[in-house]
Amino acid sequence: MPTRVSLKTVFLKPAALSRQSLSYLALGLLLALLLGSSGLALLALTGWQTAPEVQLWQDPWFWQVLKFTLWQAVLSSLLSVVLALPLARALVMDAQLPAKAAFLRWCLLCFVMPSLILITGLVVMFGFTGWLTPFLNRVFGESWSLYGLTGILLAHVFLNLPLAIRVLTSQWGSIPSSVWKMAAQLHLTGWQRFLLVEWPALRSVLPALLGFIFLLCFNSFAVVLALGGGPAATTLEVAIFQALKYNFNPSEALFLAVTQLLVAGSCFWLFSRWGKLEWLAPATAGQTWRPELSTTSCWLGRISYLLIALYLTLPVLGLLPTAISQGLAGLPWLKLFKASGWSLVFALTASLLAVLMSLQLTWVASNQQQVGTQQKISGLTRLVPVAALHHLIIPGMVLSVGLYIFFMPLINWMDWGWLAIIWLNALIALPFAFSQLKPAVFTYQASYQRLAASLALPLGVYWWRVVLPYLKPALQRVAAIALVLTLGDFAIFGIFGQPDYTTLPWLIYELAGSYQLAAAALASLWLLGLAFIGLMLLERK
Amino acid sequence: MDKVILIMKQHFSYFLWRSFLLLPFFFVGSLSAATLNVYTYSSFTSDWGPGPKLKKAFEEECACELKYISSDDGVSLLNRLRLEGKNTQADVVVGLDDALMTETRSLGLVQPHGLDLADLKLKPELNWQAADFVPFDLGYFAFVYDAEKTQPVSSMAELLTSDARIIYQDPRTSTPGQGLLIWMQAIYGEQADQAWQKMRQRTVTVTKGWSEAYNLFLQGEADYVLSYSSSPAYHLIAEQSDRYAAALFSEGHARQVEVAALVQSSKQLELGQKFLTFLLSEKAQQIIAVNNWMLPAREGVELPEAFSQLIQPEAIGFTPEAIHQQRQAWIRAWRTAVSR
Repeated sequence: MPTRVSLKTVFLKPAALSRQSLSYLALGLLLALLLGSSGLALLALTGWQTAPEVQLWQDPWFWQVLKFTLWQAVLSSLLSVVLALPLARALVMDAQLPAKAAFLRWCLLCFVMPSLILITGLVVMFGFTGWLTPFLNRVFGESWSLYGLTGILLAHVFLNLPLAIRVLTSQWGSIPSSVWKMAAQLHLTGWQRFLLVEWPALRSVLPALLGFIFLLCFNSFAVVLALGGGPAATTLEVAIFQALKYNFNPSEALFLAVTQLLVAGSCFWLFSRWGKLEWLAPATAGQTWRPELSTTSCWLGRISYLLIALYLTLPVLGLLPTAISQGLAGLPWLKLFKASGWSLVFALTASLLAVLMSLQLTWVASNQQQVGTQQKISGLTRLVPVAALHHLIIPGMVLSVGLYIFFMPLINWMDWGWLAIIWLNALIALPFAFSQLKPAVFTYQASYQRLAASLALPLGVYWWRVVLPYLKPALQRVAAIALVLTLGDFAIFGIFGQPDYTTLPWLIYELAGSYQLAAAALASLWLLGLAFIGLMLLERK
Repeated sequence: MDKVILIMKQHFSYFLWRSFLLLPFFFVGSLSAATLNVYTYSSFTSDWGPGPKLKKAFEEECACELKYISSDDGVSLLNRLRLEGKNTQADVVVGLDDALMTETRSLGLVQPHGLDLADLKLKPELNWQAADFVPFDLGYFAFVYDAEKTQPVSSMAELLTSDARIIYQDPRTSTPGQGLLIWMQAIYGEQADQAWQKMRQRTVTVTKGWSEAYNLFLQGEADYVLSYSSSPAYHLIAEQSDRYAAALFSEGHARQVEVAALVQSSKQLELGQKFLTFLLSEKAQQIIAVNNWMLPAREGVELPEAFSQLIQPEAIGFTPEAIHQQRQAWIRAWRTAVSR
């Protein structure tokens, strides 16, 4: 027997070595691309000889903006996560809740919603002449006003609560049946069970989720401006937009972007330090089993399901009267179909790219975190989370304009703009994909990595027969989120796009800018419908 | 590390060389096809803007191809030209406005149009002298109201002391917002701070762009929305509705003149000149008026009846040079006054 083993090791070693160095090469290349894109973009902006407005530090306005940006982001993220908790629990534990799959799909659609449509929808509900305003006036004593912090929070919760629900639902759902059963056998009380079974599972994602939503709200722009009631409610992102666009002062934009990078980046780092991935237990095949909920938490879950479902659908329903006011004839169908086609082409390629990149990165990142693995942590792998997540903090506008400037002497953007649209959209989707895929990859590696390695399967068979089937549900989830994100892109197209391949969000913007508001509302509903169908196909079992 | 940088440098210069080598072919290609590249903003080229109809009409008489490349608005247009500099493929730029003229000129992005202004029959009130830009339409900023619900005010002073709800656009992010900034400065000068503070009490919200503001107004969120004096023409013609009107202010209104010019690096001068002349032809001016919903820059253009129902404001404001110099300070003053 010993001879056979040694023979095998001798035989396998060179192949394994070259495989490893090959994977390092691929990783290095990907990291260079990811970090290089941001680096070159920032570098390109430094090349402009305009003085940055350094006295901005002495401007009380700057501090007011920073304070407000932080404050609304903290409130929005806390509110989104806290509201999502009871509902996510109910979605997992309460077998009687109807239409769960459709609801979770609807949750993702909130990402693709054009800001103009969200603003209008919320105004139809909560504005001066809103459907709910008479009721709210009675509750708040005539002092109800949408505009201000209220409006910003309503919009941010609308945008981010769904993300929180999806993440928490999948996390709660990943607690294996065996653990629930054991808790039941030990006669744990509800509170003990929460503390010993559920909390450890949540603890691993809660801080990162909070940090994630915090960043999204930190960078929010059009919604804050429109519902904030004036420039007192301004985020840093507005200042960057102004510096880059209206004053054309790239150095000032750079200064602001770096400020944002530092502040938002360190907040995110703080948040995610509290959370760490924990090994739960291998998922067991067979029927899932969940304990029964107590009557109180059962009804709490059902009521929050009803309220949140209403909250997430009413603003869209509120658009229907506007959308159909001009009839279906007002819509440029041919143009709509063409734009839908281009949107799908860009979104599908960009999300495929994002999924592939996140798979490679999470694979490496989880490998590095495994307890007891002999592999040494190289400097390269240390960079992985930074490379994957930092695009969340760099303003998309800075990234796009920077790359545009840098490559302008080398590339004819009129011919190659489509490439930038795909690449940048993939970059924007990557942080979402990475953070969503990581727990699944981590669990896989902790449970099966060594077992699978002992089989010494050929690489192709190993991935095709073992890894991908295991990761399939997670990959579907990640692809879905990447798809809606890229389908909704507007800013990147604004810089690299051409009229020849107008996308759907851009068409909506054009419609709204030419007095065609009814058609814009209708086209937005079309976009939502398209995304819904896309998700249905993607999340097929 | 040094070695890596050296390699990167070599590759970089290799690419640079290759693109230089390809450059001559590029120009040859564009010359033989007789294509005129027009940079403009997106609502100009959209199906509901004047772009497609102008393209059709011009191509019928020029035996050439007109190609639009669009940015999202006038300012993005200028930024694009500025970024691309000598590498730009633009021959003509359409859709900058008078407030951006000084800056564009000082960056050396445009060249003299070589046209005789007297032939163009421009409106005398424009008093147009520029040798590089030609105006192709104009609009007065105005507050639009719903005539079924609102009894209009007749001056800015009255608006500020009324109890009306107002929505306007952010001067940091939108052209109408900048227009209001100029308008308020022209009326109140040194006292603009106090006027802005009064405005703040009347303000429902300030939006990023025109479409959000106008949409909120149509949903009934405000009594007045900042737009153009010609906006009601859209509702009159496209919707046969006289529900929306613009309020005429006794202090006068700020005016925006949209301009076009030949790009400095263009090799298609003759064709470009032809296009500028065409833009000011009676036919093109009519197309622009009813598709861009602005007023013609040419004198005596025949327009649909709806345009005669529009208010006829008196223009007030500053020279493009003065706007260029003080815009930053005005924005800062506005920001401070309304954030308090």
